[in-house]
Amino acid sequence: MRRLGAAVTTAIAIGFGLLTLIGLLAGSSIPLVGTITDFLLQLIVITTATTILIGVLNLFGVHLRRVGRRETGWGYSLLVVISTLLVIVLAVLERANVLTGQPSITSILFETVQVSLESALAGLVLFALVYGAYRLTRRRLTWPAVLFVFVLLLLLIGALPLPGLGPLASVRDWLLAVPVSAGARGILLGIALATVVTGVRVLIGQDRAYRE
Amino acid sequence: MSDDFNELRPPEGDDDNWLDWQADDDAEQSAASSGDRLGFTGELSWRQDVEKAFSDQLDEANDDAFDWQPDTGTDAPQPDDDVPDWLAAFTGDEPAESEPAVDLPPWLSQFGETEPEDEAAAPAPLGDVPAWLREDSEDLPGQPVEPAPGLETPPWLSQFGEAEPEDEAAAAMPAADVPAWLREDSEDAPAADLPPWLSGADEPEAAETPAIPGGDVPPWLAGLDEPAAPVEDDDLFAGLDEALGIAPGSASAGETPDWMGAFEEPAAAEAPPSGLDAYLVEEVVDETFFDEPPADEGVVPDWLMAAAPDTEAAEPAAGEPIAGDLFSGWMAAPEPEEVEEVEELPAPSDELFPDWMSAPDETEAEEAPDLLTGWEAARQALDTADEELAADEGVPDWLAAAAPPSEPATVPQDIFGELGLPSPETGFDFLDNPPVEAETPDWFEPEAAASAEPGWLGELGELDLSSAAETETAVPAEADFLAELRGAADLTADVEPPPAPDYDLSPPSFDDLDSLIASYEAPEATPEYRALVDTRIDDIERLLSDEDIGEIAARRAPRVEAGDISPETPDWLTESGVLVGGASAGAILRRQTERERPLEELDERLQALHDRGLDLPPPVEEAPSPDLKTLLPGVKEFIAPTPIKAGTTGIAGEVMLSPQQMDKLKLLRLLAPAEAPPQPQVPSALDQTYAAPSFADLVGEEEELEEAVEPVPAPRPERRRIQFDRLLIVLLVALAVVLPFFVGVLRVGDLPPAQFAANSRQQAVFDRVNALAPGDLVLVAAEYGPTGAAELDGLTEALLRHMLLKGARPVIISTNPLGLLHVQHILDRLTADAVFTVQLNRPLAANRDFYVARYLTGSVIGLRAFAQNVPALLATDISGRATNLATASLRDFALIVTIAERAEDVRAWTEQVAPLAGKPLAVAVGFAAAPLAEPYVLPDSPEKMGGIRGLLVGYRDAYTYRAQLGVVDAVAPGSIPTQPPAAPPTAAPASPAPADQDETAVEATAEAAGTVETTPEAPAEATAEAAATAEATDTPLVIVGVIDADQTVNVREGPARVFRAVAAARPGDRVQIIGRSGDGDWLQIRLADGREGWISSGLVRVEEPATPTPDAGAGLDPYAVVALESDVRWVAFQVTPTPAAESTAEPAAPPFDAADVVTGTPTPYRDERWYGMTLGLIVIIAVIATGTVINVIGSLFRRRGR
Repeated sequence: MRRLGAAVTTAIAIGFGLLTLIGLLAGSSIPLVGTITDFLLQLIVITTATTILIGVLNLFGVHLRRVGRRETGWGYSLLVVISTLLVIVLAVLERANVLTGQPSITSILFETVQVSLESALAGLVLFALVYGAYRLTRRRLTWPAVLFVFVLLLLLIGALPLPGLGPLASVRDWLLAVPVSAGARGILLGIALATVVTGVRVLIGQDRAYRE
Repeated sequence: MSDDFNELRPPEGDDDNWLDWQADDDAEQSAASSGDRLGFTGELSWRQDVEKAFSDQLDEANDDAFDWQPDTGTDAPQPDDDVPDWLAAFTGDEPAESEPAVDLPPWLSQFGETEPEDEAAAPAPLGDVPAWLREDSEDLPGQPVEPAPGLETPPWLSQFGEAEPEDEAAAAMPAADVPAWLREDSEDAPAADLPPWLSGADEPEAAETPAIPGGDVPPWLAGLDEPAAPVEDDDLFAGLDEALGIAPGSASAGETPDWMGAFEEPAAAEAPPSGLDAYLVEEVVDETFFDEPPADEGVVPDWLMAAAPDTEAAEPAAGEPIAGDLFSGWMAAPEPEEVEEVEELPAPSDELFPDWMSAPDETEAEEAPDLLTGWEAARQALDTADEELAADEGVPDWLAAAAPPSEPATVPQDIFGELGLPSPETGFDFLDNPPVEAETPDWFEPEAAASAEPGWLGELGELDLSSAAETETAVPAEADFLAELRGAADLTADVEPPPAPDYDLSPPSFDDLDSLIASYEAPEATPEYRALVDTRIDDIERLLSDEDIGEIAARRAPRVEAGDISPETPDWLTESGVLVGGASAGAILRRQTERERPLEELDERLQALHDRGLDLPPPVEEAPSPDLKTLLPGVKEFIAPTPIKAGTTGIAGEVMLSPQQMDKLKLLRLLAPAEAPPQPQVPSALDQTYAAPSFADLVGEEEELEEAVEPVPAPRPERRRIQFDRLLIVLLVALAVVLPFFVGVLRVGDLPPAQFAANSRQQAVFDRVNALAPGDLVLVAAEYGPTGAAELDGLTEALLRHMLLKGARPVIISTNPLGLLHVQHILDRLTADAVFTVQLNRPLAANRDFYVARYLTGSVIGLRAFAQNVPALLATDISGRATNLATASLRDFALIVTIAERAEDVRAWTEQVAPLAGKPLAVAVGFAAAPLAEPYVLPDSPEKMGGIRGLLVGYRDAYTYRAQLGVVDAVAPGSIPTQPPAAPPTAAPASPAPADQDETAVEATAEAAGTVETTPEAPAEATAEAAATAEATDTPLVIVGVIDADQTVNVREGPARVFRAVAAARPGDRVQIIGRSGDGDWLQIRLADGREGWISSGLVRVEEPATPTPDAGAGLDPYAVVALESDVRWVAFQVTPTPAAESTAEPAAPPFDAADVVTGTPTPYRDERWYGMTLGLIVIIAVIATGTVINVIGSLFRRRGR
């Protein structure tokens, strides 16, 4: 029975994979296949959306339980619960056209709280990066480290809007256009090849990670 | 004495075995303790095995600590393994150090002959005192064990057992207190009779110590423990004391057994002197003493009765006490010279001698037919006993085993004769008899002794060693005891010739340091007495000598605090601080001095030892490891608290392990990590998710998860040291970014250019947006969140403004819900911007002028699903309202713009959407995503390929884009379709269509929409040219410059000297200024003949134009004028239509920041923000460069140093 189940799952995966592939390649030529492909893709989108909903509910439930049990940090959990309920209520009121102001209250909350906090935290990365570059060669002096710091300084200097740095700006542009772009292309090609290989393995039943 | 115990470390070669406790045992025990008992049986009894192993090891360690077995260097059990040291004292090792060969009596010398290895033995510590010795000091009456009937027990020994009632003995000494070997072999071993009177040898001064009450001693021996007790008038020693001139009060006294009462009564009846001393005196002085009538039969001990031919004459009076030092006194008065010394002693010298040493004499006495009536009778009795002993009946087995077969000639002939006592030939013939092997007690046999472990050892083994924390050095506290034994033996041997005994009999002796120190505190101790005790300090030094300490410290046995000693342990052992696991003289002294004596009175070395003991680390209380507690409950107590080292020796408290043992220990620790610090179990989000009640069905075992997520207080983070360099860097960078907002002088660098370079990727984006027709749908993907808002918001707002100005309708979607919300906020802000509304000349409304469609789930698959089914996913907006968009496919969108924060989003849109859209994308990204977006940029802009046609990067491009946006006019509201573009006549293909079909469809769509959008294949340049031409017709020349130079200057092809000169301009020529370089150093001019070129800005003087107003003239560009007025460096440029303008030059660029000028609402702090970025970048470069230079120099110096 177990072997039969494995065969069935493999057959389903291979069958739907081939069907989707064909539908993506020639969906318009074969309307039925195209329709099935669209349907399958929509299933994935709906499933993903459902998981997001479950995640939101679970998050709410976890914090609600922490508050109920007075666990460590339950005060923060209480804040999360209250915020969630508040935003949900406001969104419902806006949907019901009870709150019609522009911009909406939810948008104001989002911009003044969420965006401000995340932007501030992202700005702190600057200091960490600068200090990391400052200490890069402290512990161990290696040629790759020296090369990295040299290129970094060259790119930064080339980005300075100061007069007289034209040659450095040209060097910077060349670095970005040639070496950096070449490396990025190599990475993207590798990703593409790996994606193809993985798809082929799934289609031929060699890779059955979906059973796990 | 050396305090460096490290010097006492055993030889390296012995590391493997010197502490391998099992090595001294048999092979089976060794194997069980080393490997099998350490957890390899795989059974649940593993713990018990480990405990037993440790217990065995403890016992063995005790053996080592007590030096039962001297270091013989071999693993094979030695015959004297279990021979107590008090027996080892007979080995004659003492003369090897301090005195010449001593002529021991044959029965004593026999010990030395049979156990030569004892010469290397160190004195055992006090803790080695056997249980039966300790019992004597307990409150329990020290009743000897009842000897087995019938035996080879000499009469004088068996008489001891008979002297006391049997029931009394049973009540006085529980069987448990009797050593196991003693109990088991009591039937065969006459040595069982030894303990009671041996205790007197062990503790001659115990009478002064409360811990050694006389109650432990048989009443008739209690006097042994009370040397300083007041002497009764009728004391046995009274006569001797008087004869010797000793003060009556200084003589020891005690109760005498009943049978010894005969000494008193007759003596009292006759005249002083009385007692045995008197009897001895009489023996020496007055032979008539023996003519006294015999004592009452009922008083004479049975052993005397049995030994004497005429037992009737030796019956002592029952219940009458007898002086415990009867025989000691007898031994102590061998000759007048010594008697003279004794005269000066405040304490009786007989305490120096163990009573059992008096046994031969006592035996001699008991052999006497009438000990109480006269010496002659005793002599006769001894003669008779000699005959009996010839038949091997009276020799103690344990002595017989040690006695030589027959060496009567070696016995000093006059040893007793000098004392006036019967000689061995007459009175101790039984000692000369060959030993009877069959009667040798088991405990004396090495093999049997190994198995018949004394009970007191077992008691010690049960003690908890985990409490041992202080490191002490075991010191043989029994040294004096042994020394006394040796001294007694020497004394016996040195009677003839009478060399000065090694052991000074004059000062009071002591068995241990406890009694020594207590002697100072005794109320009867006089200064003279203390001074006399001080003379014995040499013994303490010997106790603490390197040799003794070395023997014990080398074994480093675990020790036990006195308070941890089990209740069964004798009080005197407990109070004396003797540590069972390794008696430490330091500990003893420290405790005693702390309790009883001020430290200042101690010897300097003792004070040093005291201080050193105080410096020892306190006991370490380790919290039980949860892992170990779960796996091996109870084992931790044996493993964790004991610090273990390999290969080094320090002060006690550490267990030394061999490499093999260390390997096993490592394995054990691996299996049961007792020392692993408890790790806080912080519940992860996943754990909490599974622990949620809603997931109870999915999880199934909620209880386990709840246990797992039990909140554990996080460990307190360690206080980190402030890193000043980091703090300095943070401050510098922060100040560099902020200060340009307030300090003008710090605004260094140039502002971004006002126009993108021609044919640049940025300009391509601008052109494509600028080419949108009113009513075109533009798909805008807002793939960024708040973290990228600072960098990308400017681009988003500029693009949206541009689209709305052109009358296009942006449709916003995103796979990032935050990005969608953020763009919605931007659109709301634009909608609320009154100035922008005036510029548009129409109000903005959602789902009419723009659409915030929806959030796409599923990432890449969601994008693909959207690309496959656009109408379904654009039916409603983010608020759930209908969009009324009549889109069938991606091809309904005139332009697709992706604003992404991550390169992955760019790749997803480029790969999943662009091919289906049939047109390249316009992408706006941050600097982080730019490198991976570069490869997707199509160099030649093939419109039919999926890729990126235009690319905007970061705040710099946003700045320039806003600047170029100033020249964009809003389309007339009437030109914008009021209805969304209808669906194309022919259904758009769901998949990429062939090129011809695509073109046809696009054209049809465009036509159906009624827009002026050019066909997709129309080049952007053409569109731009058309727009430029259209604008040019409306815009005259505004800026005029005059060549301000002394000579003719070159007009170059580009804004640098590297470009070739294309023309020349003479001073005073008027030129049209049509552009400016990014850095402002070069101006693009058009000469009168229509040729264009670049000239240095310092060579051109801009003429002051007439100040126009925005509505001054139809052909006047107001923006350029205002720009000139505000900042001459920012020269606006216009395309001047000239008749000769045939060139297909780039379309005219809009003037700088026209929109802001028009609306009067420039972006707040736009320039300041740019200057802040510039200065911050400078500081960052300086910091990194400085750090690198410092690090490189430091590294070079370090390398040079190496």
